[in-house]
Amino acid sequence: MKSILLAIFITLTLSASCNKHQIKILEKIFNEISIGKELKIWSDNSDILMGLQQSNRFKTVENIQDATLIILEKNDKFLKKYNSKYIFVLNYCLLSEIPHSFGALFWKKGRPNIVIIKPRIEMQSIKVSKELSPYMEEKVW
Amino acid sequence: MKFLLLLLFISSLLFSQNIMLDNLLKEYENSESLYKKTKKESAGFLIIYSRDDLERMQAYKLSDILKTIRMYSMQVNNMGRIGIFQSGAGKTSSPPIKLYIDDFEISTVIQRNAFDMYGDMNLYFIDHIEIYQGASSIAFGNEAGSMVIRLYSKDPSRENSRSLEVGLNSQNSFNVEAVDAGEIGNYNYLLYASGTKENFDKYKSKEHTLSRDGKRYQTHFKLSKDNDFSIDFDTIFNTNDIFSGFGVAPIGQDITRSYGYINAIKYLPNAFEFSISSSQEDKELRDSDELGIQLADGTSTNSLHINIKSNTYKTSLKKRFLNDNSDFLMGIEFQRKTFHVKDYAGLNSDKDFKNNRLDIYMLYLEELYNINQNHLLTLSAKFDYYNNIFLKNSKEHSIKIGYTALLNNVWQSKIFLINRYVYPTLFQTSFSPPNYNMNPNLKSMDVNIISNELQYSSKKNKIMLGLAYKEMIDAIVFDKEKKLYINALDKKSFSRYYLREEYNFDIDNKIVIEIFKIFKKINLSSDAGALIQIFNRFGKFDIYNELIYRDNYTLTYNSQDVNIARGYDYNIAISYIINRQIKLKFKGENLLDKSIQTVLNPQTLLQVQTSERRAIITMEYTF
Repeated sequence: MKSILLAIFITLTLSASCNKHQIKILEKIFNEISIGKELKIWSDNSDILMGLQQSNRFKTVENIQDATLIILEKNDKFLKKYNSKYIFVLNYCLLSEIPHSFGALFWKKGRPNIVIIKPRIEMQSIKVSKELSPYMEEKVW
Repeated sequence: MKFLLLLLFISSLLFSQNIMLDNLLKEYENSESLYKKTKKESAGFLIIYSRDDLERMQAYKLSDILKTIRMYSMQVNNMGRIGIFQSGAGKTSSPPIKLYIDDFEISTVIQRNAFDMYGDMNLYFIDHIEIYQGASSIAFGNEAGSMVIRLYSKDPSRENSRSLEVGLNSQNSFNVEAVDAGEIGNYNYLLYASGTKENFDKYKSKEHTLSRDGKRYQTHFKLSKDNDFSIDFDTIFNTNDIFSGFGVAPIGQDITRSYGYINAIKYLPNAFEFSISSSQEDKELRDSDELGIQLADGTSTNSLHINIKSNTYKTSLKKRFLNDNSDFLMGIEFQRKTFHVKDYAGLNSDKDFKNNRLDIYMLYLEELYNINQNHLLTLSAKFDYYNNIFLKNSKEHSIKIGYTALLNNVWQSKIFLINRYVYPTLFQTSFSPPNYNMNPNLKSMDVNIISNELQYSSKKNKIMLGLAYKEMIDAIVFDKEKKLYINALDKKSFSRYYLREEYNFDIDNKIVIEIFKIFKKINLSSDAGALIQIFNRFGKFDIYNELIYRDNYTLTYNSQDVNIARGYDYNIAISYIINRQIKLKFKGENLLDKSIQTVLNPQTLLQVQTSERRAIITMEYTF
């Protein structure tokens, strides 16, 4: 109840890097894809990693080497050596910057959007359920 | 048949799954709405227009929002500009309404009326609007106000786009506006530009045509780095035909206004915040009248040319102390306001504008203290020292005590006790239009308010009942005989009540119903009103219906009663998303052609509508 009171009266400036709805959406997306092996998720956003860990629907790993799927918020050069892993990004620009990335959950015009790049999932043999069909795009804009 | 049923089942299942993911996106969007981070419930009774609301309402101009505000009425003035006044108050009242764009208060020096400049500004770069009523704006700094309207620009980290909007309407008006916002490394930027050519209905007065057609241009630029700094730069330029002007038989001529500001904020270690800003305002009026303009000295003139330049300089330092149960804010601020009369031609006697500088030194403190889990105490105090060049200096203060209680899981109560002041404007003391006299001896007005809002909230429903009693000592009122503003000898008071319900049918559909009533001795504008807003979404269609009601009232001019009819301002807005890039919008404004009217001039008793009937078609393209 105390947290409710604070939320009402005091302007909260908590980090917006992660919230439960974002986690739900990521879970839903990853639930609808199949990479042919177990999903072991690592992210450069520790809040998201913790959120996914708490939900217990997917296995999360502390070490990037152990991951099969990486969720990236920022681009980092050292990630080039992890080209064999599946990459999902949280910023639309990263889809262009990381040609290996197959999809994104990102903000544009004040709204969250989902995009799955069709040629990239075909090339990486990622199977995607029909539920994600409305979010498929042929190319990065 | 079985196959058909199976197909239906599968398709409905797929459809529901899509809806599920779409709904998750909507819930995510709602949970991250910017207003949830910027709103300050302890600052007053709050009305919020979220980004989703503004888009679905197709609120293109600030005036589209101003006309909906409870306990206020929007009116058109003789110069063709809009203003808002407290319900029951007359056009000569000068309510201290504060307008902010992000953290900068638009402070026009002479009239203290930001709406004269920004009332019709386009909202394309605005994310959401917060309106604070019933309390003093101590925590926001600046001079105390009766109502605070805060416009927040779009967050570049959520935009990441360039978009363009073009609109045309049935009055042959058009507008173009563009926003580019995003991130470059650790920096956020927003660029906005707009141009508007706006035409209005024409009226006849003494065989002369009254026109308020005009043009408006605005640019806005923002550069920021999270937790480091923010710089805002804004310019607006308005020019319009003089409408009625100061007389009743205008011969052409126009009025031009421009305003620009730059505001810089630096976020320092240990929760210190330093800001510095500068603004400049230029106004030029050319008014020619065939029958002559009545001047304050009893004579008349056929032509006036007024040109004024004014500046505001502000700097402030704030610090916040956060402890377990306490949020304490302390701030100091300095403001300098100056004006310079470049030209005042057409008068038959001299006016003295030497008292053209005002310095204000402010100290403000605010404590939000959690007594326990369900009770919060707010204590605010502001001490201001006014230093005028020629007049006696004055010390003023504002005090606010607030108490908020969560009574149980659904009921909440907010109470405010306020003692504040309203300092006279330079328009009243040091500069005056040709038909008024200035009163340098005018004192500030003392205001005492007790207000309460009781709120019921459930998952879908929110009901608010508000009541307030306000008394004014040394009220600043206009004396028609002396043609100047004076301090009233008697104490003025009124009480006001409102009831508002917001019912969410689901995530896409909601209704807002609101009624209010003011009780005071003399009403010079509507004292009661209502608002109905219905938001619906059907697939890619957004449909919005709005009805703004203002009650009728009677004015007396030269012993003659003039009835101002009830106003029913009905608006509908429909938008359709064609694809990811294109959105098409249609809006019908004042479709009943019965919006609230204003008496433009006591001599002719000509009434003009605040909102005009028009159809608007707009296309938005996102790159």
